[in-house]
Amino acid sequence: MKNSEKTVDFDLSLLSLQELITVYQKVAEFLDFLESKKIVEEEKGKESHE
Amino acid sequence: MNNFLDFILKDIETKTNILSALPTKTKTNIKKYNATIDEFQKKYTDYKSNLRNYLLAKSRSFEVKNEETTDINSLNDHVISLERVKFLLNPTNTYFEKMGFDELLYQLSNYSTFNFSSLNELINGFLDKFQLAGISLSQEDFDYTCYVKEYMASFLDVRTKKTESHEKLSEVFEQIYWVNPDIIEHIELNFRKLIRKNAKKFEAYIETIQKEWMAKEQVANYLDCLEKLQNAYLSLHKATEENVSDIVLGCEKGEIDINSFLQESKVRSSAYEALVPETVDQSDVGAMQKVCVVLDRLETNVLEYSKYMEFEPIITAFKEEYKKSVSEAPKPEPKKVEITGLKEVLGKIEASEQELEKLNRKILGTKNPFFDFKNEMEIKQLKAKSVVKAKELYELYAKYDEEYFKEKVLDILNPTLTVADVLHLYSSFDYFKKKALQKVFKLTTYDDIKRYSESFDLFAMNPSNVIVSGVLVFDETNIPKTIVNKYRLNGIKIDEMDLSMDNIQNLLNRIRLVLRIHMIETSMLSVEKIWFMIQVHNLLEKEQQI
Repeated sequence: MKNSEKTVDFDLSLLSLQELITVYQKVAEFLDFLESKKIVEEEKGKESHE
Repeated sequence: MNNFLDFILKDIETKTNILSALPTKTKTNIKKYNATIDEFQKKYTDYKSNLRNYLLAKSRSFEVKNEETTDINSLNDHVISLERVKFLLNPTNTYFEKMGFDELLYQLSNYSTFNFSSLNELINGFLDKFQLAGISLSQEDFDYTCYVKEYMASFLDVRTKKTESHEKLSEVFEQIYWVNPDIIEHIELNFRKLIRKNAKKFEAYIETIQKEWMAKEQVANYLDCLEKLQNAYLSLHKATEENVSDIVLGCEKGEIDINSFLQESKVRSSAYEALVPETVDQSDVGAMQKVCVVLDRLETNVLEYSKYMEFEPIITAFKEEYKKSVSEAPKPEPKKVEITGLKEVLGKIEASEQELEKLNRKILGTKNPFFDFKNEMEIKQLKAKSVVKAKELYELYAKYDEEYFKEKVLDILNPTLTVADVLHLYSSFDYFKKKALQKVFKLTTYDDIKRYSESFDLFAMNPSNVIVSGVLVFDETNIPKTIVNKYRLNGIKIDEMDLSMDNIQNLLNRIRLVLRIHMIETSMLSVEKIWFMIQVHNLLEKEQQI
């Protein structure tokens, strides 16, 4: 466990119903964001040679 | 210590910054960049999975089982049976309507207007009804004109043999139709005559089934039936009333918007502002319960009024037609006159039918197997005469129908006639109800007429109707004003505009909203819990689509 995680309470029952939905939405959005940020190596590689 | 949401918000921010700071110029940079993304993704996929499981478990813990303790089907069957008894005992109409002849005649007399698919089905419908009463009709019974005789001989032949093929029948029909396009009218006339001739047998049959059904449903008389039906309706209504799990289901289907139930919703606050008196503490469950009892009644009244508005043109047309009769003559007098009118038409019908019989005897008795030009000409002329006579009779029967209904109207016509009386009158006479609906609403298809007719009957028979029982047909009553004044006494802020055609649905929605919120808040659930369940449901549904 990283240092930042050590100071987090992972008990989801502490969150309100609205917060639970928000946190799930944020996590899902971030996953979509990460997927969109991936770079296809070959194309970028070619570009850097040019 | 941070809670998980705070941590996630910060963590996403940090990770986004890390990613934006990473170089991506070289292959090695990119490799490292993508590896970092992979690492983040792994972590967040775990978070998502754990969260998903938690949300699902939490949402499921809120689910309310729909416990149906009563057998709705048997309650419904009981209502249907009692409605059947009510129909059979209805003192307003006769064996003619109770046998359903009026319904068949309406279809037959509008056969060409509505392009019914099968004339033969209608004829079979009549024959079946005769058979129910123990009357087996044979070829000899169909002698109204030589054309009916010819067609019905083939028809009964096919019916007796129970053959599937109707090709021959269609051929016969077509042959007759080109010589006499009035053949359907002649068939109708023949049935009308046969129904009248067998009136006693039908009355006896109705009496028998009345007794059977009364014994079955343990009904003593018509009034007893109405009382039992009212109780049966109430039991059914109670058993089928909307409950919290219905609301959840409605939200899941997207039929109900749970967001409008939330405290911060403007829809909710405006509904409460109008419908909950200012003096009532909305957090006081007991006080809100009292408000909801009143709102429940208001909803019933508004629903009744909206149905009334839908069929008001029928009441207005009735009023226009009979306002002279009700204002000009004292009650017993017109009734007497009109009975004479009905008898007079019936006398004319019987006399004309006798003349037609004579003509038919000549036509059917003068057949010569040898070719005889004079004889053939004579038959042709006689046939033409019989067609003219049948046309006259068709008009006389139309007049008879008019007089028949007029007599029924004049029987109850008086200045204190209520809308409920007119609704009952029309629902007792299907033929005239459909004719009135067709005329007033300018309906052009039989499906529309059936739809309006069913909706009309539901309204006319609705046991929770109270307004129509107090509104006089020949009086100017401002129903919206009456409703508004009644509920202003209860501190409910509605005005006549809320009851206008354009706004009435909005008012009903607002009433329903307050009633539903109260139902939720007094159950094991809360608005917030349902909101959460719907969010989870929608999130998962969205994921499944991807």
